[in-house]
Amino acid sequence: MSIRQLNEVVSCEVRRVLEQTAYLFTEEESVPPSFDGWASAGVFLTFSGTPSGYIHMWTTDALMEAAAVNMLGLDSPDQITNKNRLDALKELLNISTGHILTRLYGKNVLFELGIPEELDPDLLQGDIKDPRSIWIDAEDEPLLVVLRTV
Amino acid sequence: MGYTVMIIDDSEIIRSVLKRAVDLSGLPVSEIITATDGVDGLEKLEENWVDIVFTDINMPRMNGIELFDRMLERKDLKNIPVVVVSTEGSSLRIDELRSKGIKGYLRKPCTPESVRDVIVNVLGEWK
Repeated sequence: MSIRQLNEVVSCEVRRVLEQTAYLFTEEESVPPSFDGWASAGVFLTFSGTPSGYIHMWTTDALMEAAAVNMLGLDSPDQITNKNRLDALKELLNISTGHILTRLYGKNVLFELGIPEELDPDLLQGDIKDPRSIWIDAEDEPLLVVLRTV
Repeated sequence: MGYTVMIIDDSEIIRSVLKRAVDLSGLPVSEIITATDGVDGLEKLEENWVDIVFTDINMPRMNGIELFDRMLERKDLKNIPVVVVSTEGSSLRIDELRSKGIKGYLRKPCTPESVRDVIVNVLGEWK
């Protein structure tokens, strides 16, 4: 499978999860934001099986907040904590990963998923430059996803 | 009158999403009890009548499978149907869970329709 085909699957599944789980409207974004330091946080999830690998997901505080508000069913962000924001992003990554792996490798393959954890901010620049990086526009906020197999 | 549903997940976010899906499922639900892990779930099962349990697998203190095993040891809890809620789509994993006696499998993202289907499948239509 080419990087382009792989990226199409990842993008499709992440967008579907964002829409169905967090009620966030999404579009593909082909041109990454040119400014540095745009991401508020990133999370990663490892998976082991055939193959093993990991997925990184980065986004802005505004998008994490919108996801948390929608997922918690709140009317306003006033009660949202930083933990809620990060948990929302972790859960979106967790659900996305399960669906991406099924789409890529089928239902007859068993993967062990790790627990989503926060990324070191220093890793962002490497992910931005990675040709496998996928950019998604969600509610006018950027979201970056990178899948790597090892 | 309606079903009493228990939702066990260490993520407040997922408890909220699942609770809303149950609320919107169109089924008669009289109460939704939430718990943060297997230990909390077991304590609340001892205090409440519950028709069906939705549980995550990976949780601190006591995971969903350990909880299920503990329920099987208890005469008063072993017949309560347990549904595992997970992100995984592997049919091997689902078969493994079913062979243990898990009654249903709900894949995230949880929609009102998928929740309704699994409850009706496990408990039957409300009469």
